Amino acid sequence: MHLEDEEIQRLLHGEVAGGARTQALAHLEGCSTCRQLFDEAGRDEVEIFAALSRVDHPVPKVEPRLLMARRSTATAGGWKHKAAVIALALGGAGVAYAAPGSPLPGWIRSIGTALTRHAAAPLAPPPPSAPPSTEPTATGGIAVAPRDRFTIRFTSTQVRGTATVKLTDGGDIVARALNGGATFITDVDRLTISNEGSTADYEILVPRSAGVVEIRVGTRRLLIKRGRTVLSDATADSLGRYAFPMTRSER
Amino acid sequence: MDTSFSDSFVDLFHEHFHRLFRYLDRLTGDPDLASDLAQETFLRLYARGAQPDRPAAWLITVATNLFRNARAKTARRERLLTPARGEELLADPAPSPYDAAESMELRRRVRLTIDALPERDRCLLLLRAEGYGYREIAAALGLNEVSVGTLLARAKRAFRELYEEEPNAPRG
Repeated sequence: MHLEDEEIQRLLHGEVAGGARTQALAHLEGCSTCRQLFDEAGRDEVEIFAALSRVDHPVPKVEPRLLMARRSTATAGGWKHKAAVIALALGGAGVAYAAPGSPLPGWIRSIGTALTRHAAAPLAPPPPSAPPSTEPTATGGIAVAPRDRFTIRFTSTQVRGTATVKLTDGGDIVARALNGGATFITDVDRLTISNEGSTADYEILVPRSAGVVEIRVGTRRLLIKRGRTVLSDATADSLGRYAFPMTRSER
Repeated sequence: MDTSFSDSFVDLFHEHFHRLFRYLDRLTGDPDLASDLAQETFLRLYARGAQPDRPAAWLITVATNLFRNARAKTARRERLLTPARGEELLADPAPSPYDAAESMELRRRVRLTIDALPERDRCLLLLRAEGYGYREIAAALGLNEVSVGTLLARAKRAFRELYEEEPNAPRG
């Protein structure tokens, strides 16, 4: 008896718990057909969610207090207040789009690079050498081939969340957002994970064969791998994973 | 308005606005409309005066309904849902010649694929891509929670098939 789509998707998304999860994972261990379907489903999802991020636009800067003021003035009915708040809102939106450092130009550039990888075989599954999914809760992510030196940077700290880094025998760097959303932007020598406002956990798989790989949150370095040497404040657990809280303020 | 609700409203805003906007942005293909809908959703939450039992489900339900209303009522939305929108994407300023043209073409393909999906599949896929749980997705889309995984698997297959069938797609 093989796993159905529903069970595979639920396992992939962390939507099955307790005994049912244990049972399903045990089945995966012993059934190569289902294990293959599960791994393919995980890779497929990473590919599709990465494709979806290609049409993203920058998130506008909106202040919640401004929205609250809008609501209050609308209730009060004062037209001068309304005009002032609308002008402020429009001004804010304009500044957000036109501000130096707006991610839009970078996104367009990086989309070009990211999509070039897919042009020859659009949405083709990653090569067999790609590492299998070991954590069944991927909700978005990307696989990239590392250059000699490669940087992965989260743009922001978070109110909660953890980044787990693991060395693998695969050929690609794989970054996934678990239980939350983020935008993955690749360039030739870097991967930017735009995570403002996100509360996701992340999993990053780094090939042991990769040269120099550095992982940062803003300007804070979490880990740097140079060949076989890994330098990090965190210590690897028994499974070789390094875990970093996404909440720490930058140094 | 209750001060504690105002504080929790701000917390909810910071926790949910970004992914709600991304969901609506991908759903509509129009960042201005997505921003309007996301803000309107939070305005309605604030007007409600109390935190819903399941804020994420409440927010995506309201946002999805606002999207449906906007699409039904405005000619602007109808125009955005036509294939011509993909051509507009090609008119965006390009950062460099060949790669940019190629990436614009692929962006156009993704956009057309999203638009070609049945609405339920589109919403399912986009909500899941933002990490919403099956319970929230089922509530927002009026689905039976026990079948969300199956429907999601079908939506992903539909996306891939449409993407690969897209007639102007560059072939490897």
